[in-house]
Amino acid sequence: MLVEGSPRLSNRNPLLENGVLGPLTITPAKVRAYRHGARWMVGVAVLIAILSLVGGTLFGIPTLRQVFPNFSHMAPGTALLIVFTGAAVYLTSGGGRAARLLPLLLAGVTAMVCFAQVVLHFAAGINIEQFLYGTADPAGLGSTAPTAAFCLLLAATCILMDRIYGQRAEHVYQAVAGIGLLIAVLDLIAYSFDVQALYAIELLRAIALHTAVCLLLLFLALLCRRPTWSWMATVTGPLNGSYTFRRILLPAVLVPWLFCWLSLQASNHALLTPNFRLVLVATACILVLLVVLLLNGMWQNQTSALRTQALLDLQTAVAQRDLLLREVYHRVKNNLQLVEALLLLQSRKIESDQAREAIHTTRQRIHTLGMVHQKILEGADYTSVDLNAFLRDVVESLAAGFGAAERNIAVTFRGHATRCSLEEAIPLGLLTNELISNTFKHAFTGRAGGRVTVELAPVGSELRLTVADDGVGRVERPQNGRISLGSDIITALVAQLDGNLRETADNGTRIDITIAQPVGAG
Amino acid sequence: MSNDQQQVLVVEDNMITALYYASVVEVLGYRVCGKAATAQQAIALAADTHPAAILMDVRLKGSMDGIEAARSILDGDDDPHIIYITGSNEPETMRRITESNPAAILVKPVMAEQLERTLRKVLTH
Repeated sequence: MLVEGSPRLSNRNPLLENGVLGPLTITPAKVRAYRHGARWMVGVAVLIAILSLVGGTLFGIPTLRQVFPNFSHMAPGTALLIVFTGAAVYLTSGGGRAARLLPLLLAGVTAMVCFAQVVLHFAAGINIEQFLYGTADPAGLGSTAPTAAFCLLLAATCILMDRIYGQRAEHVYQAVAGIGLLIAVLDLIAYSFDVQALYAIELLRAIALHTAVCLLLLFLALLCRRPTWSWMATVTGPLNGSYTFRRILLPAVLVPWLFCWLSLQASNHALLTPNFRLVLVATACILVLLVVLLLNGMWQNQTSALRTQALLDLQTAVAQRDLLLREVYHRVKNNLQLVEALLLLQSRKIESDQAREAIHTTRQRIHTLGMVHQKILEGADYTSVDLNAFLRDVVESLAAGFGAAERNIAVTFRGHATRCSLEEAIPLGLLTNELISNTFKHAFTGRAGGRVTVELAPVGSELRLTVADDGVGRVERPQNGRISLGSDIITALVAQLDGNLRETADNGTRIDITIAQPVGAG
Repeated sequence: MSNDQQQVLVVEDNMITALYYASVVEVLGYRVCGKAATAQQAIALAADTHPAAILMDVRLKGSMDGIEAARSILDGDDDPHIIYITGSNEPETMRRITESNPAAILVKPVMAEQLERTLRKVLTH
């Protein structure tokens, strides 16, 4: 969707179709499509090889040469090896369980034969038939061309190393397949220009046109069956760079080829001198490169504009969310203040000391709830609370509320910088409230002063809250024959935090509560 | 108006909260000389009653806030003590409050006892 004022964007940009937040990596459906394509390509290659075998057997090469005088045939050995390699690629592209060993076997045989062929050709200048039978071409059927043998060796290597996982192996696989593809493309381009020039190079000698096509299909299949590996990830990816690459790929390959071919034809018909042909070719290459760069730049700009707009929208949305959250927390805090006010106003009309005391205790709890909302408002993200600052405030508020200074009770807070969610801060705040209230109410009965220590400390992977005093020891005071509400609240809060409470009497009372480190702990 | 009873003006746009502050003021033995919900009311009431202290909420109904009201009230001549009660302690708000020379700043939520201590401290000095 376009926002008014943003640059006009092409409706063919994939980011527009997918929305800006499309997938970051290729989708499983696309991977399947590439694999499917790979099986088709390899199927066609195998079909060509089989047709060559059948055609050669039925008609014989000389017959075919009578129809196509310059017919360069696929050697039966090459055809067989292509069938082997093709079958191996096909079987491993399906991902089926049955074909684990067979492809490796086929590729292994192909690799060994091709390796022998290449080594024999370059080391001894003979082919494998000569090595095996002593004669160069026993049946007059021709031998696998060194190029074909080398390419099939590359293809078989890919299949053999397919099960080696790891990024380096993926790079090697795609590099090997890429080299194979390049040789096949070179063969085909050479065929379209001047095949004799191709044959002049030793490695590229005597490869049939349909063999080159088969090899091209094989290597394309090898590349496409692993669309997420190495540089193929850039080719197949869903992001704009990959998209631009795919759009430019075909013209970038075909236009220079077409231009050079036209130049060749023109100079063959004496319309151009060979040197002027080079001028035209150079100009064409520069032109094509410039157009490609320009298109790429245009599409990248579109993407940048889209992304910047999306980022601005996102910033606005986040700011609005923050504002809303802030307002909500503010209202919660104000309402808690209101509850506190109503309770105070009510308690002023009550005669009973016990009832007033109960309302005071409740007010203190509500005040702690209000404080946690104030603390979340002070944070930058409105999702976490500075637990250290919050508990310090709770301790200070209680110390002042219970008149610690007047009663000569020293209150110490030892904190630990930790942030936590509201869900964790509320029970921790209420727990601190209850524990300190208990201490002030019961620990210093009949004492002229004392000491209260509150500590928040990390212990391994846990967080420990300690409230300790040097008072007379905690005495459980039954209220109307029942355990106090405070104890119930403490038990409930510890359970809610999934924590542990340990009480020790050591020159006073010490209560340790351990909980798992909060998620937002820093 | 009895001379031995110091007067406190309550400026707060939430009437229940205003009642709450008034209750605290009265329990301490001071007199509430008025409750204002807007800055204009606060300025008028302060001019009429010359309170010893003002409990001033920052966010108020109307176009002016509590800090602007306080600036208008403080004229250097027998000024009341301003005790701010603010819902927000954002740096900008705190800076403006501090510049207006307050007697005390309380951040909501405020407990009655906290307000009592502050009022007593401010008014007995």
